[in-house]
Amino acid sequence: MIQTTIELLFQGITLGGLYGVIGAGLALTFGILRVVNLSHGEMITIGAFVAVGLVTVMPALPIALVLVGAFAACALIGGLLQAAFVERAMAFRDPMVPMLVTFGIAVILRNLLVETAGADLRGLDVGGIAQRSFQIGGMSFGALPLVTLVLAVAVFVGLSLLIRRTAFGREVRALSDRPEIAALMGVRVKHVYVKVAALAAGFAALAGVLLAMRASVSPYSGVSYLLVAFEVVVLGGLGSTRGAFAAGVLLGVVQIVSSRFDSNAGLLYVHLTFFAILIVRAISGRLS
Amino acid sequence: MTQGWTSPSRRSFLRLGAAATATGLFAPSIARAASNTIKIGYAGPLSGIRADFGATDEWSIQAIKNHVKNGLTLNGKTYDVELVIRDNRSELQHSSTVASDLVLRERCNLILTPDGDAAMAIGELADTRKVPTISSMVPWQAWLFPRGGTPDKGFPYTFHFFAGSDAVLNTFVSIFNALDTNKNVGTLFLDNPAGQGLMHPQMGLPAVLEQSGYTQTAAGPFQITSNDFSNQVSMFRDAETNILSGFMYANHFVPFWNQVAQSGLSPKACAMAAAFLFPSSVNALGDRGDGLGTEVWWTPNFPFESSVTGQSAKALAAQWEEDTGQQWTQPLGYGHAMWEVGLAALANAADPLDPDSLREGIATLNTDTIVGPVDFANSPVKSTAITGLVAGQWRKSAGGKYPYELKIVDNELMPQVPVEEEVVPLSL
Repeated sequence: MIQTTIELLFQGITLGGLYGVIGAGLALTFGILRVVNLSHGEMITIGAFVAVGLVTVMPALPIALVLVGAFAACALIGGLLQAAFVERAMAFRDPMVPMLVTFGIAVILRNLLVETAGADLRGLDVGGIAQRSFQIGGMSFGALPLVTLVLAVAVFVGLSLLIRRTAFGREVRALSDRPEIAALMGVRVKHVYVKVAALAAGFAALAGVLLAMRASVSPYSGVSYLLVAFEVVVLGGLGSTRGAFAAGVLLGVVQIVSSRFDSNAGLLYVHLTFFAILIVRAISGRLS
Repeated sequence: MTQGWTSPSRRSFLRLGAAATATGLFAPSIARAASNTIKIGYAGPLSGIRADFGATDEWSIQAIKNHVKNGLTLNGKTYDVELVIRDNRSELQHSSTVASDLVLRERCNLILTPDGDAAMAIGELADTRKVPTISSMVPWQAWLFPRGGTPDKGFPYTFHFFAGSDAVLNTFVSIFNALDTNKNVGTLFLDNPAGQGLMHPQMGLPAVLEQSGYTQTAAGPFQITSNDFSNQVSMFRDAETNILSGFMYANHFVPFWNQVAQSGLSPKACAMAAAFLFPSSVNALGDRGDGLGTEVWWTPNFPFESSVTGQSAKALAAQWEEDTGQQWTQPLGYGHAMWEVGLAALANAADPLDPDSLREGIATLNTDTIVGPVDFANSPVKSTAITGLVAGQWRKSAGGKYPYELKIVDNELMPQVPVEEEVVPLSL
């Protein structure tokens, strides 16, 4: 019984770590750019496809380099899109404009991917890591979930250090609080925004690679995780990265534990948990 | 009164205009009814989630277009043939739009559809508006019963040809029977109408397994959005199941299969309905797809030939691979056979333009196609021709063009199809 519970929690926490990473980039764009980035799901998918491409060309590539490659490619795309389109849309006072622009970008990216890569499901097999496992005290743990968790912790610790301990992070925090004053103090607003968008797209790519290794990807997979990403961001507190990690873990554990008792529940209890917490917050007046 | 005619009021002018437009709109269809053109409608999943099922259709339709480009001569009379091709986007919603388009606007003489949603949407309309319709690629029970049909009554103008879900389950058991196992089967099913049918305690897999002496470890249904199967897998591991079976799509199977490996469970056999009908879903598993079992409706090794082009199954698949550079898939056979059945029905009707005559043409049809015999005339189930199935396993190809090849391993339900290889246990 204890062994089963430990295995269950392990599965839940590692899945939650993945949800956290999925939400991290969205939390970043939400918190700092104040943009609801609907193309986040596509960045996840593109990251996964870049990884699939890399592994097809170089089958012996270690997982770390696959992750770096996908991160770099998506960061580049995310940065370019921010500089070319989203930045201009942000000039409008209406927050709907950048949201619609990212929606349009999402549709275009998704269809480009279908046209170029095809709608087939792709699996990502990096040195058989997705099937490997190790035993401790009669319990079996997957290697991939562990890698996922380690990476999730690394992403959030790294992000936290970056925001709190570096000059770039200081600019980001300043921009997030009072963009006008930060600009007056000589912060190059657009440069920082592009860097933040690149970082967010890079995190999405990492999530995409992990998803592709865990399951499979098609050009349509990113969209289905957008809802989870939003729940992570809203639960974690808008724009809070540490909160996003905690929220991801909570949702992951809820999903795994609830499906133990009701295998047909799917994401029902995840959404219910989200809903319940929102209600508690509404009652206690801490909704925003 | 006369003044009204010399200077018509605006209202009467509009009325006249509307009448004139209406006459103009109806004129072409009157002209069409008198002509010698047979209109064949097609509604299928050319895009959307079941696009894999319709992926070969545009190619197949091109072959038919070439075949009928100079018209068809039936009973000594030559008819022009017009094909009306519609994409139902794999959606029930859009299928109804397509249905009214084909039935009411285009007024097709015959409608063919390889999609369950499209067959549902077209069915009611076609039966009331007298448009003979032939559907396929859905187990016949899933077509007949949800529409409220019964085997002794059938439907007036809608027909279906395909294997039954019972045959799918029998092919699975024939794979399990060929192996030395502890006869303990772990099952899980996607929670949708097809899944509920397959997990039905009396009609579905549980009953078939029990009859054949297997014990079932049932993990029950799961939601289509599921991305984690660790609970089900640990249940199977604790019960020491040797065999895994059920129903899920390819995007569920990949995480399921990975978690099976992580848990340390090493099954000897695995046969899932729908999960790996297509080579792309097995290719997504990397090295771990060797020996997966599936139902087989058609392969290039079926010993039949097309009644339209005269090609053997092998030649049809070879031409597809040459033209598109892609590996053949099972719908290639049925997608072609659907047109064979349609054209054979037209030839079998006294007057192909008369719906009742064409209806008789289908109901009394017994024809040979590239997927084997399609027999409506002697079928125990009205409006339905039940076709055969064999059991297959995906095998890693030894230096072939494609990573995996589908091999026929059992032919109990269709003895005329040769067995290619023996059933092998999974090697994990």
